[in-house]
Amino acid sequence: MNKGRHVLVEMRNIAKSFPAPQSRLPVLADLSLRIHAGEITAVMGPSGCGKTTLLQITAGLLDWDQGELIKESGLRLAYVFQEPRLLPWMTVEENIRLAQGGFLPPAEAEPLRLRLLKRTGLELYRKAYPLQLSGGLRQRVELVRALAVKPDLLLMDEPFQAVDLGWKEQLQELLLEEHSQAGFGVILVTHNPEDALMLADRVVVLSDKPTVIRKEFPVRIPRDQRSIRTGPLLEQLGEVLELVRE
Amino acid sequence: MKPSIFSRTAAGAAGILVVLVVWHVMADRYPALILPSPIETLAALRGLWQAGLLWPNCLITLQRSLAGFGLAFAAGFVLALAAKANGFCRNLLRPLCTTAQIIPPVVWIILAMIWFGVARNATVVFLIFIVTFPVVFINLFSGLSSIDTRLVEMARVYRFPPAQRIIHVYLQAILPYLLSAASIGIAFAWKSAVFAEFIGSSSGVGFALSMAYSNLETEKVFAWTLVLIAVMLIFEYGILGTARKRAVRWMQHE
Amino acid sequence: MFRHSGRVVILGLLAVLAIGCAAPASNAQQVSVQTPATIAALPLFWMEESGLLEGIDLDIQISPDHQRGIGLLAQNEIDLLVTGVSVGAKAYNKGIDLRLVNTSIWGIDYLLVNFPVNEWSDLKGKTLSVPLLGGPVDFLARYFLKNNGVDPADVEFVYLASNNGAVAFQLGQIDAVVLPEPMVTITLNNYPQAALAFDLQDEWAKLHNGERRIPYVGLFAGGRFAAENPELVRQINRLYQEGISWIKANPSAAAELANKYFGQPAAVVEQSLGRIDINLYPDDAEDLLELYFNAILGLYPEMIGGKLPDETFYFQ
Repeated sequence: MNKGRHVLVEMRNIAKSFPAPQSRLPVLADLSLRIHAGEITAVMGPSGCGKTTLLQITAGLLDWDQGELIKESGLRLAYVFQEPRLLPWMTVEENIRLAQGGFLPPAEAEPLRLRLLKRTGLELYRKAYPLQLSGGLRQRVELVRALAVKPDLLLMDEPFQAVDLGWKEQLQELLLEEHSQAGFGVILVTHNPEDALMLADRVVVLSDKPTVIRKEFPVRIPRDQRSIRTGPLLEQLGEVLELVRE
Repeated sequence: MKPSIFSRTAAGAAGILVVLVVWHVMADRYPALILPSPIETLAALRGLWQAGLLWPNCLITLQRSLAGFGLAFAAGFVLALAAKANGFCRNLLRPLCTTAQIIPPVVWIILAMIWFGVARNATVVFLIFIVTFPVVFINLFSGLSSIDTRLVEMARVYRFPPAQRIIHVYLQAILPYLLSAASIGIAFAWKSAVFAEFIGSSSGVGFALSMAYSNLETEKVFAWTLVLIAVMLIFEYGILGTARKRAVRWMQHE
Repeated sequence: MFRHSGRVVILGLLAVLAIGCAAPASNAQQVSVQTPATIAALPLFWMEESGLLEGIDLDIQISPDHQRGIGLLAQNEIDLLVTGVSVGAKAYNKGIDLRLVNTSIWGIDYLLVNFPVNEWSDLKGKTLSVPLLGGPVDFLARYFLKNNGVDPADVEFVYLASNNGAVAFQLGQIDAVVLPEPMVTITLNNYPQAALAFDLQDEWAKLHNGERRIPYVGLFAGGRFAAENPELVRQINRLYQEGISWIKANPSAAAELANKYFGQPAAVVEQSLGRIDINLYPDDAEDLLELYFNAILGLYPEMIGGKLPDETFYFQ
């Protein structure tokens, strides 16, 4: 497990507010964060604190009011949205191919695509249209698409929330496999402390609005030794739960 | 379960048969000048065809309809985009469209005759345009407003090249609206072509219709009406219906 | 008291309604006639206003739509119809049961041009507007062209309703137009470039030994109405003749009548009367009609239904 340490994205004192009926609603107050290559950062916090806003700013979909955002040039992004965003008029395969199109030559794109589809049980649905699939299946496609473009940075917004029962573990396994092979960075927004502690290298806990970072800590236990039933992880879990509940 | 093609056609045919029978029975009670029977109408239709009047007049009206429709669609598309992108354009165009729709077509014909001359193609094409444009514009604008911005965002993050974005995201999203606007627009175009020719032209189906009417040749009036309906049906079900079916394959949930 | 007022109002309304509905049915016989807004209608308005038609309630409907008129006549929804003689002849030959009671207009159309014209051949290559392809004016135009050595195909015919034709002519978009009075007078008054090229009646005279009377408009009766009310029809015809005399004796009053019912400016109508031949010519009418119909049969037989109407066409 060779983790490159170069910085993919750096946020310095980012502030963001949204227009509100009477004035403006401040969401992010002062956020400073560095995202490294090869590192999975879990972002947690109370609902409405701006986790999605953070991802959108990183993805370049949203402007910010104050502060700086520095991205490595040519950074290839992938985004697993909270609700599946597939083009309904294209098949599963075509959706993925279209996203890959900008980044990978067909010779590389096709086998990768097929492998990921097989791995996620979607092989039979290759030629199906999104509206013919259940929500859980569509969410799986979201993840496959994100991995299929071989991103430098993977942004994930509650990616396992809508997934079918039984598939969550498989998908998390897949994520970790691909991650260890390719070494991309990940920002994983989740409200599930178990997911955060099982997957992340580092956990960032945000406060309520106006949002700042309340706590940031590494998860030093090697992944193959992590279990939520016993050991030091349990303690950290308890800590995180308390933080989040406040 | 959707009824089969066979049962749908059978139902349609049965409906037409009922209409024909009722028509025939009623026509028996009146001279041909008042209400021609289906047979007399078909005879008149054949007479028009043999006199070489059928196709040339239809062609003229079709050409004008397509020209007027084409202009209306192009203008509607471009201006819908402009109105979507620019608030000033939007505030300018929407009241103009409403005004254009309120002014009765008869008035437009008179203006057209003054501006473009009498019995000119431009006169008829103008009327078709001015009647069809607002309809197309409103439909397309509505379609543009319903493009899912979430898909647009997704395309941005995944850096779809602009051409791909336009084709696969924007155009595909508005395709149902394009087809709907086209379908409605063509119907308007054809009907207003005939109307414009009825009043202000010396050629085409509308003119032939008005001549037959004024010359008390009611069988010909009915014959031309059948032609009108036939063309309309071909447009609706033949051309556009097929296009629409292909475009919305993906909408079928399973 | 006020509790009952509602009931009183309703009863009162019902009573008014009953009286209103009952009144016409009791005394007068209803005779309905459709006519276009033309001078041939004026004797009808005159006879209704003068009250000379005792016991008859003349219901006059103004409409330019002769197809509608024929249809209504055929179904006995109206009793009388003022329309073109060729329209009536064609309807008759196509099986509609009607009778020609009189022909009243024998001169009303003129050819107007906005460029110098001395001969019919001057129209070659020019645009000429007539109202209806295959109609009586179209016939006259082609008849005169042919009989003056001009191939009608050399003239660009444009088909516009008379008012549209007048507008287009005044805008200079067409070179020549055949118009009826009073549109002729209006156009000549408003449009300095307009000139009267030919008096169509003079042209007819040149081809028919000086006979200048062309039948245009007549009064028709539904076949059943005429059969059931022959005396009434004769009476209406007599009064119609008197109406014509009254128009000639009182042009101003006649013009006022046209203004009242058609909205046409009275001064113009009065001016136009000089160019209209409104007369019944009861002794000559049938022969003149046959002359006219035969000319039509030589050029546009379908215009009157392919043959001369037989004797029963003419009301006796």
